[in-house]
Amino acid sequence: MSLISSLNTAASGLRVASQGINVTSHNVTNATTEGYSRRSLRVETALPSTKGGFGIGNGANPTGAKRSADLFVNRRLVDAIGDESRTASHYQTLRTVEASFDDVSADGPGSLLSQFFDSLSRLTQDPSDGSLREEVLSQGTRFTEGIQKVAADLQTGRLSIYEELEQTISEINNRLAQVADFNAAITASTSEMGAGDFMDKRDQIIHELADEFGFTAVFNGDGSAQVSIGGHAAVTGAEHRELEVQQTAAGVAQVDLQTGTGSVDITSEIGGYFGGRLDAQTDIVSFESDLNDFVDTLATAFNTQHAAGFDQAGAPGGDFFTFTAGSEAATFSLDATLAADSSLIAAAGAATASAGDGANLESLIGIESTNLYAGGTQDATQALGAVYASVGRAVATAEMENNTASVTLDDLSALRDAASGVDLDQEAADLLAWQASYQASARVVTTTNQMLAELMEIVR
Amino acid sequence: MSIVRSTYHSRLSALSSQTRRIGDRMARAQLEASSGLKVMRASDAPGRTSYIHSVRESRADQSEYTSNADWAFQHLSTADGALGGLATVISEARELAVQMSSETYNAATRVNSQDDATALFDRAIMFANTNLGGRYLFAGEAYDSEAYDAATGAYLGDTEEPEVAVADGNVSVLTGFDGSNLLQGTGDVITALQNLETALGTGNAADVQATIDDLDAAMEQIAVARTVLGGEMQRADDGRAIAQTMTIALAEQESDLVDADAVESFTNLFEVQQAFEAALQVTANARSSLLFSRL
Repeated sequence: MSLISSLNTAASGLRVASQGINVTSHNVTNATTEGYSRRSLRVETALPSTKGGFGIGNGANPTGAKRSADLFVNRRLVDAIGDESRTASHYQTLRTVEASFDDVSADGPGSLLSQFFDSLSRLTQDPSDGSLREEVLSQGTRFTEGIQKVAADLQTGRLSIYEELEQTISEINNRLAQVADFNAAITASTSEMGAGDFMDKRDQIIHELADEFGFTAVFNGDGSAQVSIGGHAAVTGAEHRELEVQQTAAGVAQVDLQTGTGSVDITSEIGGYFGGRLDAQTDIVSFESDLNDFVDTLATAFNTQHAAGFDQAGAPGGDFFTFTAGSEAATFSLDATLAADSSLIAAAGAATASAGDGANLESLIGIESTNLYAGGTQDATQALGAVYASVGRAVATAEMENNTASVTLDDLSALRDAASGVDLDQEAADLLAWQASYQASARVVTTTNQMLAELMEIVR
Repeated sequence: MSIVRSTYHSRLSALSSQTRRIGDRMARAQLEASSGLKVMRASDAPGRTSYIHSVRESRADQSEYTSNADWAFQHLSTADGALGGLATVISEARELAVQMSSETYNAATRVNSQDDATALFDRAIMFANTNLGGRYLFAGEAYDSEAYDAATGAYLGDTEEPEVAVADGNVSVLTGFDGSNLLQGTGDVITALQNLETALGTGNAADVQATIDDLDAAMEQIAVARTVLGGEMQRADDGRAIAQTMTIALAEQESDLVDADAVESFTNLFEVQQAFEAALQVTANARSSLLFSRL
């Protein structure tokens, strides 16, 4: 082996150490970059050369930067991100809905229901008292407005989900297109380091798609990723399909995935943030239905009994409440004619009533404690309480699911970090090792150079 | 034993998650301690929500029952006062009847004393038309106008009687009376006085003597009326007492369901605050535990 060969061998050491410092520097720089996977320098021993029957080593060659990744953990992490995001948005949306019901102050529907019937009870003291009659109308208006407010909040919450989807869907489509573009770049890349960076960026987008929509991904042997939702492929290789959102006649959002021949409804398959929002939409529709049923039953029973009584002029009672079928709670109000004239409250039990005839009032008050709801097993207070309870249960369940999903995500994030994360302590140690390696190779060069110089002196 | 690789970033992330969770618990503990409530939303106790609503509704009902009982008691007390006045009138009328039925008085004197009987009749009508806040107590449900015609003594009221609920189960108390029944039953207060007035006008002692039995029956009628009224007052009083007791019991029940135990709340808050401080300290220490900072 010649001294010149030794110089080349030492130079390969300098190259390896230099590349090692480059990789370490890349890792340190991206230590806090979301989705970045740690790189480690792949080094191979250079093929030996044979001279005079001896096999002589030729140093080492850097062959690439290996990306540390556990595909199984990565796939589970994508699912966990989607689950956490879904349960979080579900919980947050329901918390907002729950606040509408206002279970603490005196202005919640439960309190207003009670205050309305209490005003009827006070009217029994003197059914001819105009101020007590006005009080009934006032409390009735407060009660119906309280129900209307909850219904409006529920409707706003439901519609906001569609509006948010409509505003976001083009961004989701852009990201699907980006994943397809990165797939193409990865399969076309000839550089391991460059492909790794593409993968990191693509995986980060996939994480965002999982986070927002619950997309799942399968990573192929060629480095590309297939992104799907509910078994329907949205990105395959360099191709992607777009999503569309529409509002159904029932006022709920529907998301379709375009296919080659048309589109398929994937609303029920959506996960992630919007999956949670859509879960909340389902809950809200259920709450609206419960509230509508409550209003329908209460108002119908009250109007029927009111019609059996007589107003101060001796005329049969008209409607006390009004509502529109299908949106009972949102349209719940006092009859406009009655609201303008408290003498129309049919408190009396007879047409030729005396001032103190409150016979029908007693029957009207009795409606509050009559089991008219849930198949005749609940009274008005219990029925409204049951609506509250169903909201409370949904919120509590969503919170519990979110807590579980958060812990799972934390665990998987830690596992992902264990496999792919950048440990700054390790990078610092690597930096020292590469520095020492560089210094040693440089020392070999210097020493060899001195030996060559001494050889030249002998020749001279 | 395998050791899972732990990175600086994952350590800080884990600490951050833990600190956030403790922060959430601390916020919850602070809210509970400051509001004094452990149930602020339905989701805090979904299983009890419906029952809490029922308890609150029952409390509101008891409040109304108390109000109704107070209202009824005021009217019944006023009516009792009126019956007392009527009893005095009947007593004085009987004294007049006994006096004028004596042969020691002549016919002219009896005729002259008819004015006294008229005055007694007027006083009786005044008591029978007693009103509280414009509400005539012996006019039945027609309490917005006088119960009796002042000139003829004819009953103008209604036979239906107003009432208010004072307890669950349709327990009601009368707040006005049918005067034609209460004052003019077996004994007729109005007619007895009218008969005395008429008898004195004849100047005939026997006629006057004959009214004494009517007046005795009228006095008995008032006694019966006062018994009826006393019973109603007792029911109003009982209703009020029950409602007040129920209000206290329900308030305690609601408190048990929704109110936080102050000692427990503040102890919990203290513990969570300590944990939060510790988490912050650990995070601060972890930030400086880095090999790079020692190179």
